[in-house]
Amino acid sequence: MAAEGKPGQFNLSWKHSGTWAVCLFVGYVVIVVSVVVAALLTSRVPRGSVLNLAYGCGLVGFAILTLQVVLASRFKWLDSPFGLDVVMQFHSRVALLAGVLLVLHPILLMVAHGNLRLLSFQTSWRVDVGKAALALLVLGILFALYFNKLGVDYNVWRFAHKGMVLVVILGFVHGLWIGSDIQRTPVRIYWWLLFVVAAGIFAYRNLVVPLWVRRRFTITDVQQETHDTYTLTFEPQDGKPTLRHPGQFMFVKLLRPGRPSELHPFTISASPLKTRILQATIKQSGNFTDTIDQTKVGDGARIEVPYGRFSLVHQRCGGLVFIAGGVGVTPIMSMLRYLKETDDLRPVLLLYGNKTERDILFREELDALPDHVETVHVLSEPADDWQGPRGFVTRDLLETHAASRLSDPQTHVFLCGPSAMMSNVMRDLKAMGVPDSRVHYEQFTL
Amino acid sequence: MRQKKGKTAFVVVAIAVLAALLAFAAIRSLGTG
Repeated sequence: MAAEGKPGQFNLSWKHSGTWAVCLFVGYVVIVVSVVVAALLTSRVPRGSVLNLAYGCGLVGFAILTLQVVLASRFKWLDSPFGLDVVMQFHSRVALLAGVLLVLHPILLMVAHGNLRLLSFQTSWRVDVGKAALALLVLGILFALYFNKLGVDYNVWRFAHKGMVLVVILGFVHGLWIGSDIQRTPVRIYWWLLFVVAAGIFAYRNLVVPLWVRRRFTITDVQQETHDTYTLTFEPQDGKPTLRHPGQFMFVKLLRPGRPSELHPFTISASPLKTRILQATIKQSGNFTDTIDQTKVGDGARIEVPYGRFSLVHQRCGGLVFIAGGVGVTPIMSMLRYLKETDDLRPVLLLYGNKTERDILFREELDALPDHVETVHVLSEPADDWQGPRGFVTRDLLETHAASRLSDPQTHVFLCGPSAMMSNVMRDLKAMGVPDSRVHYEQFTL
Repeated sequence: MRQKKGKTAFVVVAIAVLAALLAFAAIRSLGTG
């Protein structure tokens, strides 16, 4: 983080290191598989392999499911080495793995027992608890996969997704009362430990963080940037600086009289050297952001900050190519401001795509950047008198304006914009021979 | 790059889980566990 008074100096902590990332990953694998190791060490009775597989699927599936609470808790020690986007993508993938294992658990039990008794309604309450957990889990996974297509409001989905903790509770009770392996002390201790840690983290994230950890800020300025985009400036009520990297983001809960409060992630557009303020540049593009123009100076906010690894400070690069679409320019603006304030003279190219001229954010500031920063505006729906490139950031545009820079192995690309644009640009960069190790982006898919 | 590493991490976890489950089932059904 930048130390105040030493502009431009970032000392990345051990939490940002690859060693820490490897430790966390190995720890995760060890925790997940150690439940079957504990079961192996304590059981001496041979059973059919299908039956053992069924028990193993239940034990490991529950372990993965419980650790989902940790992955979803937005801990800084998880965000720093991987980036929250990568953690959440991992969270989504392992949810499917847990789902498969936990669905296999009763199927394999029925195969091993040679009957379909588990499907009847005359099972014990211990089995019924497991059935309820499984039904909820399957529904929860389907809901998470398709809520976007179903048109469900993000906050409804968020609330429902938190309810998945019920699956963990039911699964814990089911295993505790009926799992033959869990009746043995080592596995029982593991089962309890996993559950208590998950329950504690869930309570911390949902009670302690909102009430005590999320810092209080006051909105001190509301600036209209374009016809549909506004910059809010926040100042901390505790007066403490906010140390962060350029390009990082924050979770903001606006507290506006008469309006519901919702937690949303926003990029910090201000330079990280302005440690006494935070700024979010927000485009009106949804139910919540459509009301951003009604935000007033003096309104409050609760903010968790900082998050993300989309920052030039993590790369050793000689030159920079920034590619942005629309409001996706905000993290790049933070990096450009940082470069300017630290007199960093590395060559920079910004390819900035918008629909029309009136959609271009920070136009005057971009035009006033020093000579080592070249800006190319490209418009998809320009006026007839537009002199610059038309269309999108295509391979042709990249070849025309960035080919020589991209061929330099010291030049890194930072990409932020709508997902379709990002996919197309990444495809084009790959086709131009730019290796993945030099292309950086942050992608949140829910 | 980070995203690719994330995908690889998931594949490694899936393989580790599968291997652990198969080993668990095999060892215990032989009565050695």
